[in-house]
Amino acid sequence: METGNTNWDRVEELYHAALDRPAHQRTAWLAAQSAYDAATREEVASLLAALRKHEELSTGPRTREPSDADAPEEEPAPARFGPYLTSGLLGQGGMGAVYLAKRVDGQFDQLVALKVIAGHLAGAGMVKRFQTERQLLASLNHPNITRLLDGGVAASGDPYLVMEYVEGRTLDRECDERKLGIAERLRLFQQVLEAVDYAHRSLVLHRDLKPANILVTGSASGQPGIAKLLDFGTASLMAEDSDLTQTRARPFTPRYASPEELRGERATTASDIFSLGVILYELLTGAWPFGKAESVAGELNRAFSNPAAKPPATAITPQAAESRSLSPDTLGRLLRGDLSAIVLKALESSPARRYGTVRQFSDDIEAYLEGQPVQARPQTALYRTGKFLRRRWLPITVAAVFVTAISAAAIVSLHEARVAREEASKAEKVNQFLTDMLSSGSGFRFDPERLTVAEMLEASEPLLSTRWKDDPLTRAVLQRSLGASYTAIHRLDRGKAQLDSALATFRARGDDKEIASTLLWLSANLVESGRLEEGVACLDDALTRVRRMGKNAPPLLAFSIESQLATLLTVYLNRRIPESLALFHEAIDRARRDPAIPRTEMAVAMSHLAGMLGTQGKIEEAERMTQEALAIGRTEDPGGSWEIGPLYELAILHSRQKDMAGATEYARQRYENMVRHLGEDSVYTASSRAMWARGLAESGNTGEALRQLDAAMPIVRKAYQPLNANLWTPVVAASRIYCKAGIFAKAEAYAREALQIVDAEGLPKMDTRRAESLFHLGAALHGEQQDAAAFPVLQQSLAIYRQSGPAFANSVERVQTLLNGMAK
Amino acid sequence: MGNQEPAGDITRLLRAWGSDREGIPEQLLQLTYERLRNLAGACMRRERPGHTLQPTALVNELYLRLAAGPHTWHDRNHFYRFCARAMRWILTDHARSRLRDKRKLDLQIPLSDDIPWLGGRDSDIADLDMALSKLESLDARKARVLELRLYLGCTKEETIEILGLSKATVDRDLNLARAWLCRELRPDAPPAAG
Repeated sequence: METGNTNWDRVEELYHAALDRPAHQRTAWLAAQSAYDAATREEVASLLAALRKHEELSTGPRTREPSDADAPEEEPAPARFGPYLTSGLLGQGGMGAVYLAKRVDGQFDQLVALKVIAGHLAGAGMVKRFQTERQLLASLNHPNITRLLDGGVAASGDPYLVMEYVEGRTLDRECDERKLGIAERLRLFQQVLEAVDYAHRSLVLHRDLKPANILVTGSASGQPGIAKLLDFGTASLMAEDSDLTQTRARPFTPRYASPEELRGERATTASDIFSLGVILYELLTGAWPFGKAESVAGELNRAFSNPAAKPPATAITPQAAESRSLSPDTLGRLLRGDLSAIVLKALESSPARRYGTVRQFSDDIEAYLEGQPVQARPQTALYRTGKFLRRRWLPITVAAVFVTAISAAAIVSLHEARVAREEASKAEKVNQFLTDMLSSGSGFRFDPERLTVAEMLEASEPLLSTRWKDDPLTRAVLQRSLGASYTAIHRLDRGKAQLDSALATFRARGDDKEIASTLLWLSANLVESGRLEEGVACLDDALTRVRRMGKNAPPLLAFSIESQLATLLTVYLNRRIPESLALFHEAIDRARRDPAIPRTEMAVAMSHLAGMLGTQGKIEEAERMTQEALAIGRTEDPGGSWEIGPLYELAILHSRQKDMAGATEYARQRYENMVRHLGEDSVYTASSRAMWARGLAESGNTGEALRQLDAAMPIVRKAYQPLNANLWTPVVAASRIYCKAGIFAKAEAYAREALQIVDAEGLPKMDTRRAESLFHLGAALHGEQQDAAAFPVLQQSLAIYRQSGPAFANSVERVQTLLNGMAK
Repeated sequence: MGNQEPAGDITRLLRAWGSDREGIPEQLLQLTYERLRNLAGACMRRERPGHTLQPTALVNELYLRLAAGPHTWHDRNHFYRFCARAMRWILTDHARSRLRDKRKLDLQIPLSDDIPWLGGRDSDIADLDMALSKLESLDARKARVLELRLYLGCTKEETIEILGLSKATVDRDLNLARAWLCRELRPDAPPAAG
């Protein structure tokens, strides 16, 4: 009992002695204990008072559910639930038990499965969950989902569900015991996909898909069996945000759970798709995709390290082949091509890379089952190339950002917005190019598991000079594709070499269409290299040729040249403005006439034009046009990466109108779009997050602004060297946010960094970014009550803005207001 | 503890673990996973999907802390004493970070009925941790008793076994520790239901 603390030991001794007295005598008894000093007696008196309070507070109605998780499970004994009598235990889980039961009132003779919550776990939450399951099941009516027959509350108060009793084997046992081959397994699996697809379309997530929850019935006669999905005990409604989706000790099975579920993140349809991927993988190979099966350590590891699934062909054993009625070689061969691609797509650790819907998953399997494997294979190779590109391409170019000098009237992140959008859409273009390229070549094989994109391109280079030696035209077309691909992955020199070579071939033949098309890509390459003037020259040349072709010009080519030239001239160079406006209008009118031009491309051109109109002060027209652009683009690809541009314009337009709430909302939507398309860790996404944070600060929500800024800045810092021009926008946002938050010293530090960036870039003295940096520095100094230092800084800012034209009237006003406030 | 884990096995595994500590032994995980998961679930009963910590994540974090824990486990009881501490750290860290974020409550502590008056706010969980630290400096054993009860949901019998104390001692410790906590934390009213 010794604690080494004499005082405390005496307190304890006296406390327990006092407790041995009847409660009403304790106070008097305590006062008489002169062997203890007054402080000890006081301490004990106060502890006794606390004990009374504790007892008072503890005797009220129990507000917590019993927590003794060690209570023994109820032993199954025949029990009556309403009109049902149980006759045996079918299964027992964390949530309750399932009994075999029968109606005793003779209404019908059918055996049913009766599910009850285990008594010791029952609580308000569990009853709710049970009601959810009942509602969900009642809403699902599908041949591959067990039917809900009845439900009620037993005399004991326990709620129960009555379900169709399915007699059969679990999916994995059925497949192995009947030694089903791959196609038969896929047919059964397709039924499971049907059921899950149906559930998803009914907005129900299953969240515990595993072979044990899938029974196959009716196969005894040698007929193909019927798969039945059981146990929606863990299911939830999608987008449900109520207590019904509590995940209290949700007993999902780690072995089949997606990494995001293991990490405890929100489950989505993609999580169900992942679980289906594990089931399919096991059906095909007999092995668990992530190493040793049933390894809890493996499962835990998976939550944090996102390991890739092993290629299925490497996971098979002779026994697995035998239970599929195949030789190991045959099984290995079957699992190397399309099937591997299908199952690995479902098993991607990032939800966004899996199949978008169960239907797409199912369609792919159907294509495999129906197509001739030999002909299907190139298709799949292309498909995998696409997948691979989507996976690898973005990080490559996002890391290699081209920094351009922007003239006075443009705002630097306008450029960023467009680059980011173009990054995303170019990925698709390159994908198309590669698809074209690979499909033109007979026998060209590409293994995306071994090669990077760059290696693949390099590997294809020699092919061009050998295989198409006698066909210069085809070779030039392929060289153009190759050059475009190199450009997209930022191997600019190699890209330019290919494009130059292609261009020379086409020029020799005088083919305007091919020349213009090649010039379009060459200009993109040159712009990426910072050779803006040469890029303009290419597009001018291309435009001349398209004009000469008149009606024979392919509409998409003409559109692309017009809109890219106009964008380059306005956004990057800020000159030939009237001509650019005309080009934009021409391109947009062309798109209105010709539905073959992608609506998203049209929308982007419109939003660029709107941005131009905005800087000219034509706010209403710009807003109208951007909204129209959004509406048009969304008819084709709602939520696509193209929205990054229009959403940026809207954010800027609303901030010009001083509608900070609206601007912030658009900035938020843009940020979320970029999270979806570029990922949270992309530096573009982080920059857009800083922009959103600035909006939040301008709208008065500085707490949230600081939180978002804190999340964004490390990513931005990591991506760029100090004083990189791309740091300017987030740094200015940070200065503004800290100023709004009243943390002026930090605001000043960021403003000074912004100025250093402007200096390092060697921008002209009158650049508006210098003016903006100076304004923030002045505001920070003013906040620090150093008006004497702030005054000349703000004067300098004002002088630049005053010379920068009507688009900066707001800025002039802003600096003027601050200066006036200081003069007082 | 509980019926599902043979005590001798866990002790044996823990002892064997000392020499080459390459992560946590597989069998040990399997023996303790369910118990700890249920426990984590009990802490999380008000958890909503999409909101930070969830049972599996909690158990995973617990294992990560175990992997970084002491180099030798004397026996199963030592292991569970460590679990209780780890649980306290994790849950308190979590409550604190949520306090900073001003988000909604999702934890349920205590797991025993010892102090049913403890409020359900994140700040109450953080305050409980501070009070326990104070008690610990005064009387470490009482803090251990409460830790096992509050964070690991141990029954009285389990507490007696894990700490190797007599029933009378645990009873007296609990009585005084509860009074002390009640004085320290000054609850004003019974907590809201749920």
